[in-house]
Amino acid sequence: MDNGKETEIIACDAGGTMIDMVIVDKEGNFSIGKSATTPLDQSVGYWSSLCDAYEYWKIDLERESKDILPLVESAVYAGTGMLNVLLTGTGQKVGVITQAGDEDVLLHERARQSYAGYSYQDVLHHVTHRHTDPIVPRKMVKGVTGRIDMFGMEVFPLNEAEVKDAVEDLLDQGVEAIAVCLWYCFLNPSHELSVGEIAKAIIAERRMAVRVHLSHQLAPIIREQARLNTTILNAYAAEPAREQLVKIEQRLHDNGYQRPLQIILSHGGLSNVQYPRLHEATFSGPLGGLLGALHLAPQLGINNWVCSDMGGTSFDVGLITAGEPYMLREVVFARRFFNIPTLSMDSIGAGMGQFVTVDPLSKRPLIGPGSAGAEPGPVSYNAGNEIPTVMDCALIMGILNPDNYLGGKVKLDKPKAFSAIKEQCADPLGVDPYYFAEGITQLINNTMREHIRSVLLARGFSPADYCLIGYGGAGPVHLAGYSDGLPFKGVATVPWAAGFSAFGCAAVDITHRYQKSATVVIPYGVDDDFKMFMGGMMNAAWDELEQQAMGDLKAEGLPWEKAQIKPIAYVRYGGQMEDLEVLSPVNRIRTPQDIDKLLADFDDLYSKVHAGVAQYREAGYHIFEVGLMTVLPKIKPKLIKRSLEDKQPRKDAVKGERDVFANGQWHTAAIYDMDQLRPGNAIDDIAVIEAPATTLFIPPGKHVHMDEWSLLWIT
Amino acid sequence: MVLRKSPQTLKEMVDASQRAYDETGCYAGIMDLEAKESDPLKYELFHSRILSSLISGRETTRMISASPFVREVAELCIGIYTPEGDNIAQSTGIQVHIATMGEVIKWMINNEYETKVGIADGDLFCSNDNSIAGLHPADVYDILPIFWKDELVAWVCTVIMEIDIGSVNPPCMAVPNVERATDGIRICAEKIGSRDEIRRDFEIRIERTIGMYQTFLLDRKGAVAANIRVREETKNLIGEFGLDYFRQTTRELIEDERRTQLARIKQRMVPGRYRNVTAVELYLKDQPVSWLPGKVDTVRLMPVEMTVEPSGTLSIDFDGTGEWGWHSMNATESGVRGGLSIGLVQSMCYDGRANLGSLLPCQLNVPIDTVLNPSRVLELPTANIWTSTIQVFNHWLTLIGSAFYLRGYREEVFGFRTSFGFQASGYNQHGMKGAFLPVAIAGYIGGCARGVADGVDMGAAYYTPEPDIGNFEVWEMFFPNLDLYRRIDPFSVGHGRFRSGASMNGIWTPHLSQFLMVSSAMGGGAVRLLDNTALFGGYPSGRGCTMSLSQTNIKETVEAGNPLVLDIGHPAHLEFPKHVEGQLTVHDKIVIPAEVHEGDLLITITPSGSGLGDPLDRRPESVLPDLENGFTTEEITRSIYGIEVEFNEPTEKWEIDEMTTTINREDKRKQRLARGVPMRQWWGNARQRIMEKEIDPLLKDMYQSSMKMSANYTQEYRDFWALPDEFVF
Repeated sequence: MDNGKETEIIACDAGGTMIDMVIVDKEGNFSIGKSATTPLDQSVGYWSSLCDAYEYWKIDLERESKDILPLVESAVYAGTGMLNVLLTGTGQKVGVITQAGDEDVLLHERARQSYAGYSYQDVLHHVTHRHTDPIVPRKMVKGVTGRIDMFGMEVFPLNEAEVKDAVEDLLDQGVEAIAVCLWYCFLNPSHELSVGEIAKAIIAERRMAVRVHLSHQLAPIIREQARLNTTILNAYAAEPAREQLVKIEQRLHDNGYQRPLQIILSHGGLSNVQYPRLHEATFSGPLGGLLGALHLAPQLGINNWVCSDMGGTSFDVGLITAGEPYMLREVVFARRFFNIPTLSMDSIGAGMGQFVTVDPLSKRPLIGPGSAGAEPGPVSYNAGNEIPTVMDCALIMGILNPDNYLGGKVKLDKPKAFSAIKEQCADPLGVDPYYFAEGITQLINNTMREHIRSVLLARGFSPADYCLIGYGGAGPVHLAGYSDGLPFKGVATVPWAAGFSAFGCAAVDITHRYQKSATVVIPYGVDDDFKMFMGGMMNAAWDELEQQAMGDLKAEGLPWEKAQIKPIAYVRYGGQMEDLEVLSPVNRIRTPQDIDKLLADFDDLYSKVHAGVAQYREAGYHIFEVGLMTVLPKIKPKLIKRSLEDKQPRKDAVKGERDVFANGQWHTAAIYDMDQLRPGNAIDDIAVIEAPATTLFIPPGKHVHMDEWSLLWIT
Repeated sequence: MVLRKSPQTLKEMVDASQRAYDETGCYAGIMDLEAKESDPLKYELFHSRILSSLISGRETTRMISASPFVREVAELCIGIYTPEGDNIAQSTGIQVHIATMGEVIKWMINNEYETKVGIADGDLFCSNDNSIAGLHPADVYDILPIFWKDELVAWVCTVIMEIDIGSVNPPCMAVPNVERATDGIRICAEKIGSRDEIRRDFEIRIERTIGMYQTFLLDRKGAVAANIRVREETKNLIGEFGLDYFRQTTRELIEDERRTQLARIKQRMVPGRYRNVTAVELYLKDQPVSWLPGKVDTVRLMPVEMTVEPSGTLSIDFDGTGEWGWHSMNATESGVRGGLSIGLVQSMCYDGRANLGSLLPCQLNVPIDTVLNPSRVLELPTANIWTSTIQVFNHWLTLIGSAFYLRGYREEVFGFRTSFGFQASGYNQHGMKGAFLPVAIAGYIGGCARGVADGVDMGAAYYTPEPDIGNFEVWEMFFPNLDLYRRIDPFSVGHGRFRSGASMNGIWTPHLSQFLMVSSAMGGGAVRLLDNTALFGGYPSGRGCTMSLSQTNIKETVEAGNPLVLDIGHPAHLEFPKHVEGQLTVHDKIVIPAEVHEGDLLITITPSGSGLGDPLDRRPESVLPDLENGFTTEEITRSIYGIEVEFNEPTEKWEIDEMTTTINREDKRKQRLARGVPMRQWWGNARQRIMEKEIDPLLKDMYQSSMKMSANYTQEYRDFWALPDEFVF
């Protein structure tokens, strides 16, 4: 095919086990590649996945790369590379300088980290709680005397002699990086800056190449434990991860690609491999689907989306409201809290690999919390696991094709799955195995449905205002089930559901986010002069962030003058512990009415999110943090609008028939080849639509049609 | 099965349900689990829907709350109840209130709220009166009825712990309280709003009564918003599943859990009688008090006896507990039930199905007029009910651990303790008067040793399965203090083959307050008796305590360019007084409100859990990481574990001298044998002391109080020591 020679975008989603690749040509045609992750040298797996994607276009990239890659406009990377460095313990040797008296901080860590990421049951089951192993050994954590208070005032001066001793000792121990985190540095960084200067002077004197990471420059917001974790993450994992990214970039350049490799950040922004706060890229991979939906939104004219991604162990849900995603400032991964602005994806343990059992005492059917994972996988993989999984249930019900799983690369043992379900689950309950399998499917669908509902309700929104999109390899199997009963405007998936996350990564603007603590207190009924005084403080903070943003963009060689600037305020009622992110309706506070507009926007948002009864204007308003976002548009994949064909799929789209168990009885379901469906095609009643990497199940009474954008809508 | 038959009243429903239980032994007379048995997966689906609405409601409250207890520590919980006030399900969070919130509902019903106060759709009720039901008065319940058309079909309740409830000795867990009025505001199952709105006059009362009224009111708003959310979800559920299914299945869930709990007990515990004993103590004789009868020192014995029947029922008997007193450690029967709930959830009922049914197979005997159940509760303070309640249930967990261990569930053995240090009141750094609970280290307690591993370090507390403390930078935004020190305490550890987790010690100093005073919180660790017991030869943990160093020179020290060294060291050989000048006070009783100033140091030494098994059986290699990380010391390693270690300077690693360790351990075993005396000899010596009444007057009073409260205890005491029938102290 010639279209591959005009590739415009290359995007990858590098997960823990697989690297998914999407290549997009100028007409918007896609091809998806997959390859195993190669942790020692990610460029190997990256290149292999890229070649795989070109194979579908019948191009041998090894031979033709010098013709193809110079024409590529953008190569985008999202992945869990830094997370892998953390999990595998392969980061740099880091020393920590913290507050005197708090040297045990990484051992006691936040008590909640002893159960962070646990299931509901294990949170309550205290005997299971365990702290994480510290990244930095205790002997490499040094305390220094000095104290800034909650107003940013110095209470005790910094003891510089202690700082010198601490730095010398850490260097003697052979550290490769030093992370510094002192309390309230986000209000007054003078002590941290002094520590940084002293450390750099000693490092220079000793002619060592040790980088110093200051917490206020990486995560200048309250909560010392998450800020310290973030600083250590950057010190520990950023450089090894950067090395991997440089290798990928080098491999691309060696093969003809001429632009920088771009990195997806956790907040949905984009930067290059030299970005100083590379820890912001830690959690970018799983967000790709959300970014994909963000890209679809304006092209389809649908601005409210619920994005749902079902995988082997988890079910992730993210929201796009009025074209904007939600942002978290404190996140948990690898069982630790971090201060990293991250697009909000709420996860629960609900996946196709989860174990299905029956509690011998209560005779309750249970799903999870354990999972068979990719290895040994479900019973039907016949690779050692004997406990049935959610996927085994879908298999015996006839939804999955034992001979066409992952395009036939994995043969599924259906009789073995049936025996496991019958003997371990159905017989103890005294029910039919197929009834049991369908019940489990309904239960997990319900869990996912309720998760979606709670994500919406927690923000005060109704499904009736949203469209749901399901993706991930397992998502389309359950999409009709977990969306049933929620009155969405529409329920959709895409033929490239398995590669939707990688697609999303290709569709990102160059966005940077900045945050800064502030102390803005606006009592109820205060006069205009006071409002303007507080407005001046906000303006000063926004000015400072804007200067920082301008510096970063110029350093990256990007045109500052073309950037859109979006000021943000984090507003709460007086005394509250939690705030809401409000996009400021004005660029700067120039009149008292500008403050009123901002606070009115907060009141509206608050009453939507938390119900009217919770409003408490009499308590006044506090803004302890402001933010700023810069957005520079970049080239993105086009979504192709095709003309509609007949409602009836073409003959070559029909693969045959299969018995499928649904609603308590067997049905004969038509089987379709997803690749052969065309815009305009519609399928009524029960059907299974198979693609190499996913299966879309249409239960009895449901319908599906493909629209002109090739989206498949279930009604 | 009992279902509402219009126009049956709520009172009639409560009575009918209880009658049916008494007659059949099954909750509400449910003999067959029809909904479960006819369609087990639909039944599971139904429960899953209820649970998810509660968890989502809890998150709503966290987002609205003004309290660091809610946002940082998540000290809240939401439950759903039958019309009769029986718990069906609850969210994660503080699991204490499974039954107690329902007891408030039952109290309202029994006090004819249906006719005399009125219960309508949208009505808001609130209660913190633990003489009605509940733990301490700091726990505030917000209660909302759920109507389907005109029928009350359920209740939803949220509990949040408040730091300030207007106590005379703020904040909320004031030890020095000696009569009820000193505990602060009492909201007695009061209707505080209607049509989903909190009444303005209630808000005004709070604004003019409680120092930190904003926090209190925003927490109410958060709780009400969450309750409304759960109510609406419940209505959706009824619409989907039908009212009859809802009525049937909500009750079946309780009966189902009762049966499961019976099965759990049978499966995991060896039948038999398990006994332990503890005491609660408070020293007010030399302290100023507002009610003179409270000016006494008190020690009260609290025996704990658990009987596991082959049928799976379990009874806990506190017979022999000493008498109530004019102090804040008095408990209530409802509070004791709350203590049982939290222990059951963490030890057995952690699968998401805990409800009233978990408690039904567990019978409590809390004798009236003991310190655990005074009849004059309307006159007494109860702000520190947790102190006595946690104390007895810590010891109950040791019994549970024994029963699990004997049955072979060794990996399930665990236990917790709880301790707070100081609490404070005065002006905060913004000039506002309020109450403060510097809980810096309360979530950092070491758990008891597990049956197959060391206890969890810095992360256990009896009162919650989710111990946490959040971030100090957030707490300091609310309290006028600077936290200067939080370090692992190797001396807190309970030693054993498996050691307990270690706890944290903390030091703080007042900051930017016009006036601040401190007092002990929840006992403040000021105990003299051994307050924890260990399993199978393990050692109990060290005692907690508080200290203060006043009029220090810390400011001058740091301004002179010297480092601030605050290492605490061994409680008997303190380190920091060598580096900081000041007047040291070790609070071996309690701290009655005392003014503190900037530069004073407030020190909390926290106890841990107990160890398990003989320390001489500890695997020698396991002390190496403990030495590297400060969980133990070279001295402890040698003197208690018999392990000889040496620090290898070139490799900077600790190494074990195996030969010397073997010899040390053998010597220690021989020394033990040499120290031992025959049981009969020990008994005879002890009996002689009893006969001659050669014991501390407070302990004589303790035993006499228990004898006064229980003829059984008296008889057993006399029988054991072969005392004459007329023996008294």
